Amino acid sequence: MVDLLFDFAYSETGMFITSLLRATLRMSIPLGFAALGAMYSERVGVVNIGLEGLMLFGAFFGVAGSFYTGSAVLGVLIGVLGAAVCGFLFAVFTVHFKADHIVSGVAVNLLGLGLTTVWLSAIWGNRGKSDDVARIEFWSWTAVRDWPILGDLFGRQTPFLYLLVLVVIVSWVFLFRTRWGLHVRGIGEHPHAADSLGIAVETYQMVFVTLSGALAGLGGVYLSLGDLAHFGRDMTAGRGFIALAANILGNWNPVGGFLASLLFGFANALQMRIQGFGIPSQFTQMLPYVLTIVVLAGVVKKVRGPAAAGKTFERGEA
Amino acid sequence: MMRLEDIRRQLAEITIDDAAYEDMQQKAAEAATLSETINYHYAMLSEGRPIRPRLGNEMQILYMRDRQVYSFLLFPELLDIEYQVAKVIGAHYVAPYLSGDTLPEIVQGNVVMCDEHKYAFQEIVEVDETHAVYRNHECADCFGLPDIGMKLCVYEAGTAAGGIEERLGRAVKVTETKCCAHGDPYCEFHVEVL
Ligand SMILES: [Zn+2]
Repeated sequence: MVDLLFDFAYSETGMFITSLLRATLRMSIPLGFAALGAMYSERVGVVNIGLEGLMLFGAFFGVAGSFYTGSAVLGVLIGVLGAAVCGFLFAVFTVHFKADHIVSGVAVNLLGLGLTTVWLSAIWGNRGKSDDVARIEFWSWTAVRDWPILGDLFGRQTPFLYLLVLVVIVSWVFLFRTRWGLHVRGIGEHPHAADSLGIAVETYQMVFVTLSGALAGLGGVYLSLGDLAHFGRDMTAGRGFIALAANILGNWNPVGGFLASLLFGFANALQMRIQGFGIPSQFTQMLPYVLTIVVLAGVVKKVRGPAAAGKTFERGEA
Repeated sequence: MMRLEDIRRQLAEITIDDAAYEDMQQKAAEAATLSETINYHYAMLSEGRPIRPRLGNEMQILYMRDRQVYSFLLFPELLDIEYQVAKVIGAHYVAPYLSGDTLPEIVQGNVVMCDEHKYAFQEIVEVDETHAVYRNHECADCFGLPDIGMKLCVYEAGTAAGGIEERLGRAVKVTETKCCAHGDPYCEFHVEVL
């Protein structure tokens, strides 16, 4: 049995699958964090299409933090905090000032790209990328290192992956097993009912939209300090939007969003690997986007998000 | 090891500056018959004709790797020199495979070439007109090697730099930032337009 496993692991197919899975994990991480961000925001009734911009802010502040402090861990904290502040400002506009969610989200995306590009050239005198900074290194797990397949997947893996799994589990427990989670779900479905039960709807909205920013920021920080060691202009490359799709496909559930992120990560990993089979790369590179469209077209009719998502909440207006 | 260290100290004194690189290009240009022949070989390769009549164009990759790995293991100082040599090669033989005028187009063209020649399969991580980051998976030079603490794919970095530079018409530097021989799962290259 063990021999069979080894034979498979070191066969051509086994190695292909292992490297495909490894790439899938790597590419799912930023999507997974941002999909959680999308979920929390929509669960309290605020549609957050500004995830892309929030990811960029996170990626940027993370690198700036690592650059100025020399510590990658502090960089991560600064990146998450920076994105959380941006998420808070987005919440101030959408929740407090009742601004339109979509318009505000577009503004966040435009500001995210514009400001990080300006700051990039202000700090590093380069319009394309920052200097290299201290990054979050892989964790070595020596116990599994020599195991077939598992060793390749987890022998050296970024701590961001474990953090993502942890946040997914905690989110699920929070949302479906705690009183506050019940409040969050209630607000997304029927904010006025929640309000009449004495739940501080706007406070919840402010907190969870801010958290949404922090989580999207964490996805961005993974890109700049986990996957690379610098900030590159527009380095999120549309991942914020794919994360929105992952959240929908995952049915506004943390575990569902994580699985959907894995699927999109898989599409991306597969895309790179089918290059070698004589299919023009212009076609293969479309794969993740085609999958996004197909999935959304097929799924959107079947799932239903929080009923009040996208609607501005005004007290006593129901 | 005294004698080896002596030699390494001497090698470390060699620096290839812009003037030296120009001389190298000149020298390569003078070897006109050589470059004509190699170009002809590349044409044969893309037409699927055998350069060696009996054995053809394929062979196992270990011979080439062994030579490279031991050259650089014993004399790491050669990495810089070979990067410059590879740039000359890239300017001659990689540039014709590339297409486009902007860095994003050219880097995309490199993916296609890599695909055809199977020295790796590439992932473009980011690219704009000032810089690019791309990764080589299953690199012919280093995939599967243990962590020997070296980033040894200077031939890839150099040939890419030479090819892109020639195509773009601007000076370019390519640095390998991750390498399988450095314990990373893939090789990563940073392209900088100077
Ligand atoms: Zn390498």
